[in-house]
Amino acid sequence: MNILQPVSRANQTQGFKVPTDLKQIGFRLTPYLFLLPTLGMLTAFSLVPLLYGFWMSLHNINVLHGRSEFIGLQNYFNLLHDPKFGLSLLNTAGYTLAVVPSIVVVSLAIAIFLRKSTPARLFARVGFYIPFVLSPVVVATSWKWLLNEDLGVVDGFLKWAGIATVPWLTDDTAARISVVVTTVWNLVGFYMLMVLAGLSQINDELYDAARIAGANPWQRFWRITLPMLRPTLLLIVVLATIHATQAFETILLLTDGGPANATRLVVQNMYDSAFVRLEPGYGVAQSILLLPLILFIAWLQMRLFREEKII
Amino acid sequence: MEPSLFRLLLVAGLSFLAGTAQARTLNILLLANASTQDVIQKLIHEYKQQNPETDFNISIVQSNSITAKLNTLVTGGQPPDIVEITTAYIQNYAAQALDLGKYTNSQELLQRYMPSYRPFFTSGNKVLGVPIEATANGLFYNKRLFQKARVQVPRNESEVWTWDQFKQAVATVMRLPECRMGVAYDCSVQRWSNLLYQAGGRWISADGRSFVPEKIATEQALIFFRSLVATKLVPTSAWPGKTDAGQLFKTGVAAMMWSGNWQLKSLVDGGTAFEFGTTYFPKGAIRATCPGGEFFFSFENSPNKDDAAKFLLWWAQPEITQHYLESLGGSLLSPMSNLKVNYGKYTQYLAPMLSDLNATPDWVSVDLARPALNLLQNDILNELILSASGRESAKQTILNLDRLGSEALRSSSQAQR
Amino acid sequence: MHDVAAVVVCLIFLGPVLWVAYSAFRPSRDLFTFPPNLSLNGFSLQNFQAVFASGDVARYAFNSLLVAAISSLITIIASSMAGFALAKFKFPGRNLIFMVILAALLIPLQVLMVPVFLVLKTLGWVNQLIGIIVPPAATPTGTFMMRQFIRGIPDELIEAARLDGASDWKIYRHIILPLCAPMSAALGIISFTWRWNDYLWPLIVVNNQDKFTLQLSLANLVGTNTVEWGTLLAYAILVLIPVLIVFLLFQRLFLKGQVGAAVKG
Repeated sequence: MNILQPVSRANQTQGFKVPTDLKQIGFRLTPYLFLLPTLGMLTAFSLVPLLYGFWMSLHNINVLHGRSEFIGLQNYFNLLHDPKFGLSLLNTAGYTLAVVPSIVVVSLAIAIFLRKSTPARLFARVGFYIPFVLSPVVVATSWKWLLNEDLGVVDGFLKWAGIATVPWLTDDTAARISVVVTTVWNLVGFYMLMVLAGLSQINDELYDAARIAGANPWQRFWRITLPMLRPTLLLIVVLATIHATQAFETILLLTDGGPANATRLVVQNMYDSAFVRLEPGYGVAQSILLLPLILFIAWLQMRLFREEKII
Repeated sequence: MEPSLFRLLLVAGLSFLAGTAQARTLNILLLANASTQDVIQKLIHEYKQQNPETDFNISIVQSNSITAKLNTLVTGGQPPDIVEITTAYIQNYAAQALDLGKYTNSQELLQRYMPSYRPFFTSGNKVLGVPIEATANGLFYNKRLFQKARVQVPRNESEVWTWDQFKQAVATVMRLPECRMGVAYDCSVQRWSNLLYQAGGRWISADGRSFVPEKIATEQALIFFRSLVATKLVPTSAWPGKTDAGQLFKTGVAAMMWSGNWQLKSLVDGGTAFEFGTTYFPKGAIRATCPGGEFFFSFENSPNKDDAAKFLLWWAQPEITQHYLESLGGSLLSPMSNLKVNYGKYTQYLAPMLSDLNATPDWVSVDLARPALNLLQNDILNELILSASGRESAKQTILNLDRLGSEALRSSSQAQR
Repeated sequence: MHDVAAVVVCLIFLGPVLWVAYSAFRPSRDLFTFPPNLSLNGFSLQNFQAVFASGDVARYAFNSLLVAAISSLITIIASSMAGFALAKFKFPGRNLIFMVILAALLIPLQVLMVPVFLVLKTLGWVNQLIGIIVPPAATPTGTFMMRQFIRGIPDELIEAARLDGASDWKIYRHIILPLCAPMSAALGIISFTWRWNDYLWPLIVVNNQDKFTLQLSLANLVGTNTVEWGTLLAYAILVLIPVLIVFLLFQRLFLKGQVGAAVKG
């Protein structure tokens, strides 16, 4: 095998052909048994509530009076005409498109840079992980204070350097950028871990052979690392997309969806419906409407990464 | 199992349970609040000593999460026995709250409290709960900066500033290089409502049918606030940045803070690097501040509602309320009419706020207590931000507010029985 | 040289955290003063004292630890089993099941608090620690992570074991699980972090003060109208430390080239 050719993953993803012989029916049960714990828990705590939630979304629930009235799909029709929902969808789309590539690039870069297990790099790994562990209150407060346009460090530095200050949290575009930066900062550690795990699967001998054959670091990255990381990359892209669509708490504390709804995402809209406007049926309807949409995007991403046929 | 055997066991079981139901445990949800939670628990302990057959299971919840927690418990069929709640949310539970009028003479109970607080915990003829403490908005100022700028704050009611004089004062103080911000103003509907009331306007008409009925007064309030933001007298990190006013004021480089008496405890006890004071709100068409407070209430469906009512009425006695407020140190106000509470070291700070409270007409509370205001607060705030940032003209804002308010009022009146 | 760069970049990256750490050691009143008081005599431990005075911190820490550890264990086992099934077996409904599992990730807990509460109530898990250990343990992310990782395990290894007559369970226990060590470590760290930081689940489930977790207690420093910033930041720093310890302990499992070494040629 020529080391400088992309490594083929063909022999690693076939899976098994399960014998269809009825005598081996016990054998066939195995995958289902292995899936039982996860499926059991998910059914009880995610899927059953979701079904109940769907039932809720078919009602106009009046929390104040404890009454609910069946209205069929009316909530869904209303959603299609709801400008606030539409705006939050647009904001979420923009946010996702900005966050996902940033996370992929940054986490890849950091993980590859911190691959070696020297003490300094082990320390750095912990350092990059720390923001992920902070609770949203702390993340939001610290960033909000740093980005404060009257007294914050960032604008203070800009002023000292003679550059114009930026209204980080009070201008629509700047606020969107601030929110994306804060999110990437917060989550990079999580994705870095996954890349580190994926990198550990790559056989060192491949790199040694490549080095002997004269490949430079860039070539080694493109021809060995990246292809071998494909499952991990898919993992990161799909997860980052899903997490981006569910972003809520940190942004709420940072900008409260402001200024003037520029950073208002879908989950905040749902929360507002359910707990401020006290229309829980309408709130759940939003999450149910979005579910197939996001699932479809995840499926598309899996196709794009040319995983063997998923569906 | 055979039906008759089953019935026998059921009866035996129930009577056993009834026999053991001597010590009752009340589930009580308290709001997380460093100033009050310990004192409340102390009083609960005192009640327990006087009433040994009652026990309490206390759970402290962050106030931002109280609706989520409460709605889950209530809809899930496990309502707590007693809940501590603020003016922002109490009316949401008007239909489900336990009517204290069933346990005592409601007229007599209501008479104990100041007229300006009664609208918050009543709904029609129903007494929803018991006020435990009262708050009022207030204007704070940085004494060091004001002295340096040689600006005098009003010393008594006759010297109350007009809106223009207020602007002038802040602008003068801001000319100091060490003053980086003007008025640290909380970004919320409640704080902004202050201006609306001072202009003589209101959110909902007296008959509850229309939204922002006083168009001219509303426009004046919007334009005035816009001018404050445009000239940076209110920093953008506050509107629309939503940075907490207390945080901004404590930096020591803000001239004033438009907030309320709840800030006093942390300012006085925690200490500030600068000397501060409180003064009277400026006068628009009238003087006004926003009353508020906290309440205890119970639910119709609470498992131990009779015991809960007993506890609530115990707290509603003037001696107990006074005892609570004085145990707090005096930073929170009394909701009762004829109660002489010793506010201790807070007296000087509370004086202007109490004066403003006295000058506030009663309909302000009625307006603030409307449930529709709570439901729409995010949408209203959005409009206010658009107006304050100059992205929308005041007239357009009023049109938008009218539209979304009327829609909400219409749908809520349809939901009434 | 690269090492120095790593540390420097890391420290810049940690800017906000350094502000938090710095503020935790200063008295509350100095927290937001401007310009910031950088002198050493402003150093104070009163925030940390306030943390321990705020409640039964030892008990909350114990609860958090119990919940996070057990839940992570459940997650690793359940996810690796599910990942194995999805990655190395072809069976009817495989793709559907995978998408269904993924779909569970798309349901924000905020909007489904009431139905979830009702399920827990039916199980009798309201106000029990088990109610915050088991339900969040079935995280679709974990299954997804394991599936991707196990796909990278060469089929030859498993074929060879089958030829030797090993049952699927034996293959799982003796081949898959050990080879999954790096991803299990990552999942363990992440799962521990998540459960340690869970707020919404304990909020829904727990009603008794003695079953509180550290996050519930920390959140209560955000008071009705004012926030105890000094105490909160100090608390946040303290709450951070156990997770970092878990990270340090488990990260040595990210050893390199283990998998490839088992298959020659």
